[in-house]
Amino acid sequence: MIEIAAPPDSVGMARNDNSSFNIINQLISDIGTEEVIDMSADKVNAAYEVLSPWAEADPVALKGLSPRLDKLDGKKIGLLCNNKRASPLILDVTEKIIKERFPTAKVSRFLGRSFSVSSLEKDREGEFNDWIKGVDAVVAAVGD
Amino acid sequence: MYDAIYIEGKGKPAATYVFEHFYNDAMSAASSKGMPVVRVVPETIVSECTVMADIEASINAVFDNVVGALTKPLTADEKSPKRREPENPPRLVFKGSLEEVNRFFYQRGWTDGLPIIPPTEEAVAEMLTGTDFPADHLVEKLEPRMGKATVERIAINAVMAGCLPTYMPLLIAGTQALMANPVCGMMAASTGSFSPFWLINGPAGKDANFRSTYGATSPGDIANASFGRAMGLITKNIRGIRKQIEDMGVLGNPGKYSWVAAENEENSPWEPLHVERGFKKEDSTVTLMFPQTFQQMMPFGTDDKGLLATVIGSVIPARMGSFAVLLTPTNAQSLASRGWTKKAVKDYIVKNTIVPADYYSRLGIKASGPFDRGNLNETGGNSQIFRPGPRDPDPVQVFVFGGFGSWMGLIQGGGTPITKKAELPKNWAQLVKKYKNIVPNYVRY
Repeated sequence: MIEIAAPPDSVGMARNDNSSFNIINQLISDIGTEEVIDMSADKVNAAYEVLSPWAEADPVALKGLSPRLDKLDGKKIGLLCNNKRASPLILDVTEKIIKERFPTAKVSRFLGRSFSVSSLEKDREGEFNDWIKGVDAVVAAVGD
Repeated sequence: MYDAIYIEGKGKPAATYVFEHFYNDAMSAASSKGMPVVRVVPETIVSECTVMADIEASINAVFDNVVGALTKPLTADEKSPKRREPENPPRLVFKGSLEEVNRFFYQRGWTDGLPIIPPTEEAVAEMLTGTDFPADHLVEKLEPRMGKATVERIAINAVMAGCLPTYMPLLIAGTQALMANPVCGMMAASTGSFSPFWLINGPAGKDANFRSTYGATSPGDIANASFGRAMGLITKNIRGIRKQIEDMGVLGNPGKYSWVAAENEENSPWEPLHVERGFKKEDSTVTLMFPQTFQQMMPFGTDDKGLLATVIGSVIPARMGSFAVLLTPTNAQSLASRGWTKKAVKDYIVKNTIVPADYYSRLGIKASGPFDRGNLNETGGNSQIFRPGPRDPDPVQVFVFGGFGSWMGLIQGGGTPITKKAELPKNWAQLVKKYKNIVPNYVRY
């Protein structure tokens, strides 16, 4: 790294100048240069061997999905929404369709107060777990 | 997606509606939680939609897929999914000319669209002189990808952004700030296009030439320009939040390139922000806020009455989240000379910024909720826009920066601001001496 000193003909006050306002930190030269500055070492055409900016991530334990239901008839379907405003509206329509197409199915709602109940509503963990236990499957609407 | 994965983990099948444009975002979230095969049901409901006819049409069209997601037998991959990324990615990734490196990085999605400085071993080693932490020190694992923000990986992204080594302590503190408040941090991915705003306090900002005066947040200074840029690259390459993959900001936000100021402590009549927030004056800190909006106003008058009236009269409708008033030293001195402390200014704004009684009726809409949509769960009178509560006990901030002038500003949106202290290396004085004079030298014409 080359150290660049402030030019001797600068007329601006340096950053640490303790003037009454102490706000002028620009350096301004009265005269530009006509010299060609040659720092040599052809950096533009040089070959750069570069490091990856993409972070490593610890392997996360991979989990498969839970077994599916054989049918929805007679099952209790949980309807979960977060706090995005389209979510409950989506579930209103879903509930209506379920009742029409699977009249023996029941539904149960859980209303999130945040983007994610499991991540952000730790005070409701027990309540959420009990609700999951009480349903056979869940349809979730996240509003995005 | 996190809830669906949690539910699957409890042994119950789940199907999640996802707006079709958010499919990649949903699957990235699922992979980060170890369930890259989670079943989603793409639909066509635009985020925040309130039109029932559109919602009914879309859900009717895809409901069979919901039934399938809950009943269709699992495939072998769904029962036992395979890893999507290699476990040990190469450290050295490319060799080529300046142009080739730039093309390669851009095509990998690792840049912000502007050219980068090649992060060679030599350049990264120089960047690492800015901290006493070892290169492999893990600062944080950053959500959602849980990418490991080691000191070296921060340095690599800092080199790319054009940073100087004297910014490293602040970059490390900034990385810590991203994870100190998960809600704040996840704003980077929101449809609301929230942008990080970084406020630097203390001696390190001054030593490293972070601008606090005229045009503090405008282009032209390496520190202000590259610090925010580096944090943006860290967000992309370590957190794994990439545009239209995980960052689903709808309108976008130019602040995401770099939005950085140092507080103008020398010319502020009040205690600096970091002292107000419990740090020592000699500490160097980074404060992170995630506003989506930046508004500038010419005040009604430059005395206390005119300045404060401008603030409380300019709060925009449908705002949400955190709020900060941006005062120039001139504005702050005007208030202080008339007896206003910073706390008194904040209290005044909290008390007097209210929803006009006829606000909703004049708009022709029915709305019974509080004005500030981001504070729906807080307590307080419905007419008061800023309501201190458990989530944000200090909902109005005051930042002092910029040159001498009357213009004032507001920034608003996002989670509660976070302040983190920077740990300076033992050889800080030598480092500052080495890089301090790298400043623009403008030619007079």
